[in-house]
Amino acid sequence: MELIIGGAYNSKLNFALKYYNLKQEDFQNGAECDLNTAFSKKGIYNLHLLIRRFITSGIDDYNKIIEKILSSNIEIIICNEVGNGVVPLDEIDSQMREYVGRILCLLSEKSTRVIRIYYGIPSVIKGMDI
Amino acid sequence: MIYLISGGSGSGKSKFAEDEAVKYKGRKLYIATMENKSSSAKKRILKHRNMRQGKGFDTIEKEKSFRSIDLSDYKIVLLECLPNLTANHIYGGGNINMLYDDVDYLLKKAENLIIVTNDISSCALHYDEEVYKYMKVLNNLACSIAEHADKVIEVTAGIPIYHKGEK
Repeated sequence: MELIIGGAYNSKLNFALKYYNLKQEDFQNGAECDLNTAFSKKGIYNLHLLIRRFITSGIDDYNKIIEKILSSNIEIIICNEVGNGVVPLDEIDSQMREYVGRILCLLSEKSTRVIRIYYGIPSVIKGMDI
Repeated sequence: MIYLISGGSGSGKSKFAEDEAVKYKGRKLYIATMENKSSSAKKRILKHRNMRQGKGFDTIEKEKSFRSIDLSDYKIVLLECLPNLTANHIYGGGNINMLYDDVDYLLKKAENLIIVTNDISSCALHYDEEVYKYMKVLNNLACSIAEHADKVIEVTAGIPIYHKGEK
């Protein structure tokens, strides 16, 4: 499994499509995909939004989300980094912010490579250089 | 040489950008894009002016429409900053094409160019659509500048991290 992180609108998905030579259809979009088949494709993007949707659907333990991911065959996960800035007042936003952080820590542990994208430019922060 | 320099608020990115510009011998142009009407803007402008004092910049205060600026005499041009320029176009009577056109003009006509932007993209607040639209326009533009840039530098706590290019 490979993990790609970075701020919003930093060309993370574009990078992944080019680098792994994939098509957008190879990825689920966490913003709108079916919650039950979120991890059924080769990859997923907008994981942070999927996590938000899991929370609003009633999941109250991030370990349950991690289990879903790790029991799938997903190969590429793309997620925004959302942990900076002020703690949001909104309960869901603030829960999502923490869940994303915790989930990314565990996913990066399990990933062979973690790539951070900065304005489209990759930095490998774990694993083999590209 | 084209630089894209980014960082958070108060990260030291502007000072770093100015210090890089000063390394160039010859005339230096500073394009200040901040609107200069509100009192908080006036305060920030004064702070930036003081910081630039003695560094030898000519300053132009221009919110947008750069094609009227003659860049041919300048060794280096410093644009401060992309988020303001983007807002000036989106909310100040311009549009995205004109925004790209302004940046394109600088990329093509400046002998050396430093563009300063601000990393606004990593917090969890659920903004309304208008904010995401702004964020998307700004960062898409920054990504395309990064593609052309020789150096892409993140400044945090005054320390430059080179994502592209070397010190």
